[in-house]
Amino acid sequence: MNFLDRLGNWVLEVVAQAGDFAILCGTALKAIFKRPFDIRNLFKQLERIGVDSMPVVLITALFTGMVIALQTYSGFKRFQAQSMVGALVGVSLTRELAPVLAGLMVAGRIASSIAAEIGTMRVTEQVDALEVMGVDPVQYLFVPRILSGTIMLPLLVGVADVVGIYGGFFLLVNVFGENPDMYLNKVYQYTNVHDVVSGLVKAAVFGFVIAMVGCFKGLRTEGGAEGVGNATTGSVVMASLLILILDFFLSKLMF
Amino acid sequence: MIELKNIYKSFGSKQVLNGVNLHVVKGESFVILGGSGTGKSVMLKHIIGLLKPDKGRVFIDGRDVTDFTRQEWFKIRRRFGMSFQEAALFDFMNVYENVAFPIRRHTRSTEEEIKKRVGYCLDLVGLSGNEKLMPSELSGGMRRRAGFARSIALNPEVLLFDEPTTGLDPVMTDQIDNVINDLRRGLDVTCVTITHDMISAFDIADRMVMLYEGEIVFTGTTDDILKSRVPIIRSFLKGRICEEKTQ
Repeated sequence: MNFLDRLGNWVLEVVAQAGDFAILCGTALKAIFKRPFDIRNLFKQLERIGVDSMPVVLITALFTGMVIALQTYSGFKRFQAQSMVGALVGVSLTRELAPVLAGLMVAGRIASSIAAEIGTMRVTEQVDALEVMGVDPVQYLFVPRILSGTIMLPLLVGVADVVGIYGGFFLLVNVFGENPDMYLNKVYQYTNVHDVVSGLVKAAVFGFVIAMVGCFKGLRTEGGAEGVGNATTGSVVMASLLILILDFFLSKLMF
Repeated sequence: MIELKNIYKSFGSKQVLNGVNLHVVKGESFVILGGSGTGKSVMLKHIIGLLKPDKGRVFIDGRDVTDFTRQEWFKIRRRFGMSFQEAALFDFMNVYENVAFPIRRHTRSTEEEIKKRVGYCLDLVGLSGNEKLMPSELSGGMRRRAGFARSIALNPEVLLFDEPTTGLDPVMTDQIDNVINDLRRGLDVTCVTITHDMISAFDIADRMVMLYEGEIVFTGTTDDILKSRVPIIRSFLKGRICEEKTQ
């Protein structure tokens, strides 16, 4: 097989997978409104995707806020603009860094875990068992997970915004001895509602994508343990890439 | 009751089913016999609509279901109970919740009714008292029986068994065969079982077919198969490689 054959096959495979993913997204969105509503399973997933991801997201946000403050402080101080650090931390965190980094961290944690869980169910015929019992696997497995992702990621990002801004505050005030009011005033002055809301909208989209990719990769798992391994890795790569690509288009759309 | 007409199925370049015809009569215990990789599971998956044939038609109660949508299949499948090779129990639920699952999804039964039904199903397969065990805590035979219990939870008309005795010791195999016979008699259902275990097949079958390289090479009763002079069938009964085919 020559290079062009391989390239052609790869392109066909990617296009087929994209089509399959889009169709499954549509099916999952329709399934959200179908009865029965599995509230118990939804709460289980809300806890797993949201509450359990809290520590990793908060630590990421705290250190991200601190490192932005650290880098910009040393740069801005050269031309006496250190008062603007709060503005930069606030805007960059709420618009970009909190949703994207939280999205990437949750993708690593949740997309992989969903793909492994559903993938194992696929190769051990548990998904077939659902089908045979007249239960739609998309409704039973996808809906609680994609709802949880879409609901919980904005909440996580909301908390991450606050913690990240506090990280910058802590560094400037306690390490560099700057005026706390100056930092907070600049955060309030330059970070507006639109910045925060756009970050939360991005987070909701990323949450949907993360859960959907995990479910998609899990449901399409083939083979045994190796297939589950491939689905797990593939889900993290696909979710991370989609987050970065969608981030650009959402930013272009909202700003 | 179930009819497959001229079914062809291939996966990539591999032809798995090659013009299979099959007719299962209501109330009988029907066994699909054949070696590994002959297409038995694929055939069973056509009956339950998990696979669609490349060519040929599937009929249930005289109704052509070949082109049914997934939603239409979901309705039809409520009349079936299927037990998988490794039971396919949900590993995040205990035995009780596994058996209760289809009842919760498809009926508006109260918790008391569910408890009664689950107790009855587990009693039929000899698993009473094991409700709280997780699938990982069950032996192979117990897992299969828990799978049987789940498959009969909704009072199906047809029970499908996918290799119910594979990997079990002879005593456990005999026990599983007895459970299948008890279920059939007790619930008055049609049974379709796929197996490569001859002893098991003779224990449970009214009629059987033998599948070889995607084609049906025998249809008849247990007596008929014993009288058969077809080399492939003789070899399979003796557990030897068929020389005529391999040479």
